[in-house]
Amino acid sequence: MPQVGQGILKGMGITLKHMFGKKITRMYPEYKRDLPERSRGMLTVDMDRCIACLQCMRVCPDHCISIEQTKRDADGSGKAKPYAIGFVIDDSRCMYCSLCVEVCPVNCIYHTEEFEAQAYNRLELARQFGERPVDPTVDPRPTVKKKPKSAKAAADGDATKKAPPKKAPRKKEEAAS
Amino acid sequence: MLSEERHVEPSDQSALTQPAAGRLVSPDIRDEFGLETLDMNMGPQHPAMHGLLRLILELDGETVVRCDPVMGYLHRCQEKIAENRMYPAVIPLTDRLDYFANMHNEHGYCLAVEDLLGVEIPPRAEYIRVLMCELMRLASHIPSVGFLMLELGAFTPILYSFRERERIQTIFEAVTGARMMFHYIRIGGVKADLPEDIPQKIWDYIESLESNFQRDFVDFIQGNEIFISRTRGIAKMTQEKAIEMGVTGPGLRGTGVDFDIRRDYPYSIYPELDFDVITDTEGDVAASYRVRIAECLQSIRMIKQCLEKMPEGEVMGDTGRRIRPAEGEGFGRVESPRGEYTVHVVSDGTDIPYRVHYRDPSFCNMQLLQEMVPGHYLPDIMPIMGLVDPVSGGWDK
Repeated sequence: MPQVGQGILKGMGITLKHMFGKKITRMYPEYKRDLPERSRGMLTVDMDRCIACLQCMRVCPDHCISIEQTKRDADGSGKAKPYAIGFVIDDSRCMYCSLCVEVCPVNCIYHTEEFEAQAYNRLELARQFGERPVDPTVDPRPTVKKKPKSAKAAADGDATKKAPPKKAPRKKEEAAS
Repeated sequence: MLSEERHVEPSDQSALTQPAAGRLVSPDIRDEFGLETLDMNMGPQHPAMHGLLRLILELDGETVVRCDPVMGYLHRCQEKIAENRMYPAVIPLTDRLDYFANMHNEHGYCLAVEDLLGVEIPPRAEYIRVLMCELMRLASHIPSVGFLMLELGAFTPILYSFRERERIQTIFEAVTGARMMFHYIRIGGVKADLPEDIPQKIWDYIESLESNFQRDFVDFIQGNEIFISRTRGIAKMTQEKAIEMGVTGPGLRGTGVDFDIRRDYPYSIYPELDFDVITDTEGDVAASYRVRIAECLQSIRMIKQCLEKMPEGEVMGDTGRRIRPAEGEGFGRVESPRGEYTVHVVSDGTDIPYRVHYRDPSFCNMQLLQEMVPGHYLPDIMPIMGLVDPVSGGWDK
């Protein structure tokens, strides 16, 4: 059969062509490519700008930001304002989702171009930014509280009262139809 | 040279007891020498296995009699975690499901929540979503072909396919900020508009891919004798069988069933785009390869249309500061590279979903293994895995 092996030979020809083409691999540790502007690397905080609003801590799905808040007259206006005396970002938990960056009202938390995070133990990955270190092993938001269903329910019900058992949504649909 | 009809219908029980083409030991000889079937575990850590999958195989000689997939080695309780997070915070989790189709996962979840909210998406955001999803389909189908060839013992195609995937990921990185875990499609739109130079970059890339595509992924593979003899007639299934097993995606279209969510249950801007649904008649591994290759060309067509038609304007709809849908249920159905990906979100009126369910095509297509593998040789399992093309994060969730 004359056609036997023709497909394989054709493939070999293509690989041979690629052999003399431009190389696309790069030697990584020596050569580092430029990261794009939007690249999401490790987080960092500019503590001078932070207003300790705790929004990043609340929005973080992985609970990787812990802030210890105090009141201090930092700008000399004679008024004690919230001040972040301790600020820790635990990189071993962070999943680089960028939700904290988006929610920050003063843009003080942002992504850097650093992405090479390595350490011998997990605690080394918790980076402290404040004056006073915060224990990163303590979960800043240990419980998940569900809000009451509507404003009316919130007005009627006591805050300490247990939420009413959940109604199956399918039932309501059936009743509506 | 080219073996025809190597496949034995697994439903045909006589094939397992009679010596078919010298493959099975005849019952007489088996009784005379006291031969037994051999139980064997393949995986969970196997160099050729897709992710963490364990197959319990019962072998008769070199022929598989029984094949039971065991899943759960990468289970992360994704659905349960989603019940404790606010609606927007679930999106980064969906990236971790099927990690070869992250954009489709995000898109499906966002469609489900938007179904609950009834929010209007700006047209530019819709175009960007479809553009990204089709790029993602290219970045998934091309490595799928590479993986299929890797499993057949050819190492070079995976290098070519990953070269293309890396280039697409570089585009994604410039748009979204990450190479794989994008967190780009948001409830109500997309995170940010495309950077200014990106449409031109995508166009240039698509042009260069088009010029290489025929050479590197069609001529290189399709005529290869080893590829033909190892994929033709393997896991051949009928249309009825495929529908019965709940197969979706290239595996289903390879049998000739003309079904595509993008056309039959249109979402986003797919009705405005001009594309064909690719089908094949054979229903074997080679057919699924041909469908994947042809779908790549359709994706290229769609990307070009998206870039040409893309309107100006906002990229984020008005969802309000807090996303708190009314009680009810929302569905999002998208055509992911592996098949139908559906998200079902149930809301109880709070800002945390009551229930999130993912119907992942990797999981549902996995049933094929149990039905299709028996009757084949042991080395034929790998091409069948290439047809099913499961992704570990998808089937375990």
